[in-house]
Amino acid sequence: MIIRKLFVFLVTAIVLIGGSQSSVTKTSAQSDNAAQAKASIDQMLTRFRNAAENADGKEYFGCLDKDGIFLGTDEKERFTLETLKATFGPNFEKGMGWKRDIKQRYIFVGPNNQIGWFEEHAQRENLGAMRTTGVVRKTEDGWKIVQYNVSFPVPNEVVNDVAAIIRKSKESAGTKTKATNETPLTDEQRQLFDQSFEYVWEKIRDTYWDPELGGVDWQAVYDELKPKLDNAKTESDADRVLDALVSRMKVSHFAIIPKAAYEELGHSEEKGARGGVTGMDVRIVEDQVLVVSVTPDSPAEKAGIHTGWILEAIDEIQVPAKLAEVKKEFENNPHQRVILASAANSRIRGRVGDEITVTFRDGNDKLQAKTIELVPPRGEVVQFGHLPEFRVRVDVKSFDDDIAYFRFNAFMNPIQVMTAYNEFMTDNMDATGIIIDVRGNGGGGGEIAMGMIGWLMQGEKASFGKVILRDNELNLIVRPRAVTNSRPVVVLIDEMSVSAAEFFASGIKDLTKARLVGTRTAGAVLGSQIERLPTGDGFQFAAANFISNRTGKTLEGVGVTPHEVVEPNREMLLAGKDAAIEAAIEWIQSQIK
Amino acid sequence: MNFSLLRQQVNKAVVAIEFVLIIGTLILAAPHLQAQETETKQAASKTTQDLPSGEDVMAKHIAKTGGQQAYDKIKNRVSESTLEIVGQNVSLDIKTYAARPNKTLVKIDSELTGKIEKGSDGKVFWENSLISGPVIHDGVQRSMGLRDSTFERFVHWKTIYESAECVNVKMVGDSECYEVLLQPKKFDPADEDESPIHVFFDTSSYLIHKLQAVIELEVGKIDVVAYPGDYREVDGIMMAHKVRMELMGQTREVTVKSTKHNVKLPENLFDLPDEVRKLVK
Repeated sequence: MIIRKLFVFLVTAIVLIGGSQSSVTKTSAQSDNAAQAKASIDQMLTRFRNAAENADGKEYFGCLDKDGIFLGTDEKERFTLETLKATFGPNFEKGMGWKRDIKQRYIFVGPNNQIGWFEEHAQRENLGAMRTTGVVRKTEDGWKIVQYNVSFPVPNEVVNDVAAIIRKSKESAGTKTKATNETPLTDEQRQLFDQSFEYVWEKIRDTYWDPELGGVDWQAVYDELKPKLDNAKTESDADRVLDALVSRMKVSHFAIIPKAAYEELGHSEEKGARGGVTGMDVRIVEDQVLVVSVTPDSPAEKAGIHTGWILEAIDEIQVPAKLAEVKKEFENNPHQRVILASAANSRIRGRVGDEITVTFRDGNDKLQAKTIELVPPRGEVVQFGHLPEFRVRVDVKSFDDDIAYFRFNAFMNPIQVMTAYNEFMTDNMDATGIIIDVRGNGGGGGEIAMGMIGWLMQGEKASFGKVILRDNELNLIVRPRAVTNSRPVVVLIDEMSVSAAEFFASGIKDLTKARLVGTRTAGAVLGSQIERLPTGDGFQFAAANFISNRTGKTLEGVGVTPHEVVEPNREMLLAGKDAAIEAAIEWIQSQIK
Repeated sequence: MNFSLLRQQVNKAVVAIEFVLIIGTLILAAPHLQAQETETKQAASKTTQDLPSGEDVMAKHIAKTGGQQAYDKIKNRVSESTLEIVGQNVSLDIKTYAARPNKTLVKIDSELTGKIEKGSDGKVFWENSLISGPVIHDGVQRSMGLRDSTFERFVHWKTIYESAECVNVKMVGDSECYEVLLQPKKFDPADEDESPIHVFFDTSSYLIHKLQAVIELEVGKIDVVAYPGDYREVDGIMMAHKVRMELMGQTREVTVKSTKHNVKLPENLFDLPDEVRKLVK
């Protein structure tokens, strides 16, 4: 018994000692692994920091997990890896990085050394103390950042003042299409604006299709505006100088796209996102702003708004007076019509979730005030190149007598638009007639326009115009598709048919038997590109002109005139009819008699 | 929003991976050609009297980049590449199939363009896309397409070029290069004359560092300069895995992600698609 007890004791002791020994070994091993993990994380974070300084986009983005989230100092700055690349990538390509001097870094790892977290205390020139924190995880490709959070510590004694500045900034952002920032420019921001100004000025000088820049004394523009930039006190001041620079060309397709538009990539449906709409479209008819369409099931329809109603006021803005003011400002501008229509439409847009109150003169000439919520526009979200997000929609329906109707708002997203168009054309080979509606179409890819024209051509391939570049000239040739649609076709156009939509209308007019009905297009037909500036803004610049073969002239500032002019008609709109569509149907019916 | 992007017409993808001249997407709205080419200076070390013949340069190119035997072992090639338009946040993935003697199939499927396929069965150079539908090319475009479809075109250059003439020695970056003019053969006597293509071969390694050509398309003539680089050995031959191209003031970069040789390919891979076959007269 005693021996057995002794044996049991000895065995137990051996087990216990052995267990504790392995536990000691295990603890040591764990510590080694943890130390190794921390060292690896430290190396990765150092590479990340260095990549930012060296503008090494590949290394920088390579440190982020595919599902990583980057939280910037601005409330709106919540980036996925994809949107971060879109935002920072262009600056990296231009060699623009930033330096952050890491003073201290603390790294922690979880029990299995698969997850870690860190905090860094840094200094950034002109910005002072910064703090970055985040979470990392171990992947097959090493440690990756799954969350990265950049912040500025705010001393307690000034926190109320800072909060007041933020509140003021938000209040201003809510009422303007472009956020204004009245805080003083930092040295770093000033440098970015300087670089952007130089870049824009040189790009236009070197790439505009006309080496004479349309007669603009470009050096004089520099000499005038550069000092204004040097004296700019706030970001808004500097923005205005950049805007002024591009507007000096006095042609379309020059613009500075606010960086805020890019910060909303992937968030365009969220409350507060730009681009909120009511669901109604307006046009200027005899100096009145008329509702010409109301989307079914939209806030405008739900509010009881009807086509043919006249806008008298939008919130506190008196529409007739504002319209007169804008009309006078752009009196001699060849794009006045589209500017007025765009201005009117932009006033009934804003941030998703906001409300606007519009006072209408209804069908009985009585005043009615309607408060309308702004919602995300319909359509498929598209993001291409450096364009901000955009929604593309296609509407297909048919009228009596088997007249088929196709409407779309942009020559973008070929998978959506061209697939629908191809199907539409195929399905309507025996239709009585076809109406293609590009009123309000904002343009896009010229090649899509040419592909669409190809459905309606007969005979051999043909050219309808030239694209003129600084050092080159390209002939625009459209070939008829293998199978074409030969039914009577009407294309509807108006003053908000812009750019590729006008290009399309011009090709239709020159190469097919289709009829153009409506009003003259915008006259904004230049080939352009968009790049990102060091400030983060987008920069659209026109580099190519389009010359119609038929007229031998540019369409820029001129537009495409319809075969049949049909203006929106209030009476018809109040009766729920569309004058241009009615005219199109009448013509189609005359072709088959 | 008022904007217009006269988007590029993806025109052709050349399949010869050893220099990957993807003419590809041409921005109709691009600015004028700002030749950012690496400075091509006259090399001081050789005079025109020291120049080898064009044929000699071509022969050395074959020998030094793998040798005839190594090239002969390769019957087909499947590669995947990315074409990026630098600074424009635009890129396309391209898959290319090529087989002896002159068959190709190029596939692009992207949000930017929709589906595009281009190919050659050795006689017909065709294209079929979501935007334009099926097309059979003719004239100079056909000739260019058929020429570009020749498997290892610089190895079998005599089948598609009339002559090779070494005209100069120039520096391309830090490399001294023989400049060789290759005069295209006409596939159809009725075709217009084409400009020669300028190929710059390193005088030591005989790798190609630069190509310069006037590409004659339906739309017009486009100057293109290409800089192949990142050469790596694949199955015994040296192949460029990166090509930077300058055209119409834009920079494009093609990066080859993968290359496989002697792949078992479906027998009918290079046959004309039904939609295209219907167009053949």
